[in-house]
Amino acid sequence: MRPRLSNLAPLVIPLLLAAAYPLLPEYPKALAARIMTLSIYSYGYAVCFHMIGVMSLGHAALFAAGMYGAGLYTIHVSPDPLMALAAGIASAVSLSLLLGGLAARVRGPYLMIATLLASQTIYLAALHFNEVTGGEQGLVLEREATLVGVFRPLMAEADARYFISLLTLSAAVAGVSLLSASRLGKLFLALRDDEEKLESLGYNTSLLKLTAFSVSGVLSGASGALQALLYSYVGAGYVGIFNSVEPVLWTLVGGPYVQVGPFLGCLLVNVLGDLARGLPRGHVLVVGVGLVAFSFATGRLGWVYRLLGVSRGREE
Amino acid sequence: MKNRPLLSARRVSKSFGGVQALVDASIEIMEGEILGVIGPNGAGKSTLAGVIVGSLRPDRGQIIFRDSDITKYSRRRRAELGIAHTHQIPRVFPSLTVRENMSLACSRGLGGGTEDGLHETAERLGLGGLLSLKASQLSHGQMRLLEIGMALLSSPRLLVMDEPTQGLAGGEVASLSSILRGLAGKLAVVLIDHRVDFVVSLSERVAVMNLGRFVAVGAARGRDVGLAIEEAYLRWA
Amino acid sequence: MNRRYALSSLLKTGIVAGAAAGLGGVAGYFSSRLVAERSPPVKEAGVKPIRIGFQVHRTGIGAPYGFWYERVANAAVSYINRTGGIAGRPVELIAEDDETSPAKGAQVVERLVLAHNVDFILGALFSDVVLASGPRAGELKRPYFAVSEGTHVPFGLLNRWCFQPGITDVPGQVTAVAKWIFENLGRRVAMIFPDYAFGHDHRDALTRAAERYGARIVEKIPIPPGETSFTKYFTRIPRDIDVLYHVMVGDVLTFVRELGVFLGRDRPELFGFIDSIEAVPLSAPGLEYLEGTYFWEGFPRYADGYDTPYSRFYRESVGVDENGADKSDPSRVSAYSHMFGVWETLFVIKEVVEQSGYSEPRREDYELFVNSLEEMDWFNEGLWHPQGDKLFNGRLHQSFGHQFISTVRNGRLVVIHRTKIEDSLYEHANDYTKQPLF
Repeated sequence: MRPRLSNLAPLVIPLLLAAAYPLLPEYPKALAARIMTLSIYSYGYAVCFHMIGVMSLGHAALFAAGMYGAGLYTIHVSPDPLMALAAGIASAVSLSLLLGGLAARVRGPYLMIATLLASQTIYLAALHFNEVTGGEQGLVLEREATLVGVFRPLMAEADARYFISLLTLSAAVAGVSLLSASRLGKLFLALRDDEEKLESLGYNTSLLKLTAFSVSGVLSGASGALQALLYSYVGAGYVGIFNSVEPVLWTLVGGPYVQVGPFLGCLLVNVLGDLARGLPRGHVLVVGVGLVAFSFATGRLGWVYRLLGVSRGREE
Repeated sequence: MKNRPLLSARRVSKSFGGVQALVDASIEIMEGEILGVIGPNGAGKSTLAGVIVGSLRPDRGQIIFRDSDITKYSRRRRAELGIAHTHQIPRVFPSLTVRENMSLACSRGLGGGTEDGLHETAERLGLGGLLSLKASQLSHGQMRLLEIGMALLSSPRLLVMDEPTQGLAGGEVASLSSILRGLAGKLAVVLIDHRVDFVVSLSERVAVMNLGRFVAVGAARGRDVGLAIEEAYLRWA
Repeated sequence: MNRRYALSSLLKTGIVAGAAAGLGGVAGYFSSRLVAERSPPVKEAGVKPIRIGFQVHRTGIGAPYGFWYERVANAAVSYINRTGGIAGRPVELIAEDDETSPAKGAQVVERLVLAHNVDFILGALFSDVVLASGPRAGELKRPYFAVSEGTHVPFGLLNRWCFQPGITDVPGQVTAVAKWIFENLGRRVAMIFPDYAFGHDHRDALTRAAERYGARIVEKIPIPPGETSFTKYFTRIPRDIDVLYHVMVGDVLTFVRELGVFLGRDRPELFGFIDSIEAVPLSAPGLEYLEGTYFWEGFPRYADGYDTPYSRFYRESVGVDENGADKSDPSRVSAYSHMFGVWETLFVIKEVVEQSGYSEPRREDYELFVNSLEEMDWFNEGLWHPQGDKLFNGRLHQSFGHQFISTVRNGRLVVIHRTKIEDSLYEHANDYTKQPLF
């Protein structure tokens, strides 16, 4: 169960994206950069959803923690984007321990509600402490203080944004690939398969859940921090329920191959959403129709329960 | 040290809704012995397994393991003490390979299971050629053997086996018997099964359960046990 | 035996099929983009249109405003095109829905610039969308015109590429009406405002104005966003005040009904901002209590409130009747106090393009355009500026104009005062002209 070099094959995705760069016209390039940033969040979600089989509806809180952590650090502490990125990730990880703690105590549909409430609390807090967070209106970061600002002497902002997203995405892909090949990754799968069995082998499943959530927090938080540091804006508009539901679809559409699925799903849903922009609330429509279609394709809503292991028989 | 009780259940009761699954049941399991538990369906055998391994909490009574009261211990703490469990329907990790399943069981480090031990156990259980297969691709019998292998690799002091022959073909039962014989004296086994001959042939002592109580405990081929078995099964036949 | 396994094999089949289809779609999408970008656009009779991107709240919470903003934009563009276009070129309006969401708003800016290569962007109303879009516009070097009233443009939160020439901002509005309030209604004031940026702008501007004119804000009552019941906040209203100043707070019908129950007949003067009843008919049940109270209006809803040839022409062009409602649906009340900003902004673009000689979205042309706009200091009242003339501050990128004060009489708004431009001026250190343009 030691990761090998061949486990890094999924890095072909960032390599293709790097190769595509000179070929892409301007707008698809910008869209690709946005999708790369978001797909890091998608990977973060997949760590919980696919690896340990926990369905959270509160991941927007982790994304938000990364975004506000990085944004507020830049505004109030110092305009150092790398430290801000670290601050964003650190705040997301702290929050992920809370969600992980919930996951260790609450199961199935109750957990979905609990995580949903947790993220709504973050949303309401962002509104309530609007003198700090900027509330719904949000805050703008000084361009010079952002990641693209730092690279500006070296390259155009659009290029910097593309390659910073690409670099972070590569790290996420490599990290998740190595993780899923590692012993910890196998333990995550075992946890998803049969938590009680794993416990009766002497493993601390709560600790495993906390670990998975903090990995998820690192990725979701990095994605949120990049939103702040690449797009110069933080705001409560990124923390709503919809932002927690979106990664569910990305990771479902992307499929169970956790090394590549989160990116492919995020890419597909966002490109379709972009194409559907002529329709009213195009991307909401895509997400909604996608979830419904997916549910029918896999036997109505059974997939939710199957993934949660709710219907699994017990011997008593 | 064969005469020292490894685990005792003291006046344990457990009911589900209105059904009393265990009623004031007391039993002792000695170090290194194989204790057979037989009885008709609904006698409380699986409930007994549950309260020993910690998947069920008794309503009353105590579980004592090597002089400490573990009644309130979680499944995990009991596993750390060396209590392992195989289930009526085998539970393994279907997403993992056979090797990974076994590796997770021994690398917990509870009793020093090693890579060598893993291979040896796999060979002994006839799983040697299947190590790279996903557990979900195994037959029922192979899964059963894998679960037993995992339990053994965690180097337990007490192994609770709930209906290990269920769903096994004749040949598989025979090889299971020989594996269990090989364990004799190395660890204590609670062998719960509805195949009387299988249990009697392997166990030193047999406990007969009916309606949540132990109706007889004694030497496997002793007279009391024989009568109790007859009575229990006749009444419920 | 394991259902999860069955799921995962189903998933696999589905995903492989889906991914194949998806990748095909993605490839097709990008290649079609490639073709679209590379092939030269078909030119109509040799005249290339001026392309104005329009970020519009078609859906989401801003939709009631977005509907009217789009109506006005289309009316203005149609008038411009009927009368010779901009510098002889037709105007093409490229509208995209931002869903009133900051994330989508920023994406719309990217698309308008990178995919459509628009010359200018007519921006949004909601502050969060403007704040998320402004940085993108600044980086992509495309002039972005907010029609938002927010302080983000004048106070320097955005950048050199963001302008607000078509509508006045909250501090300007408050500064102007505060003088009238203190002189006519009284100097002891309590204020109720929503506890977020929009409300804080009101709070800060009114506090500054009170200092300037020697009035007293005796109580400031913030109401948290999302509040649905207000009586518990009303208990903080002091008894001995002259004026209660109120700004948009949640559901206006509930607010007014509870206020009526709490204050009764023996009430202080009430002064409110039209924002809370914008696009709401005054005949709505429960609003009777507003009879005899005062409101700020950006542009009077009822035609007789400001009856000039220009305002009549504008009202006719955007299809609004004498009572401020949609001509084809009298129950649909317009956002009259805000939407004129869209009209006026489009004419500012026209005027500055024609003055500066702007022709292409390229560096030297934008230098001409932005410099000309920053040198503007006045827009004359006329068909292009029917709400009234405006003073433009090129350092702040913000217009200052006349404000209207109306009272509710017999269930309609009656204008009783129009403020002077100089009453709305304030000082601010922001200076966008110091930022490099490129």
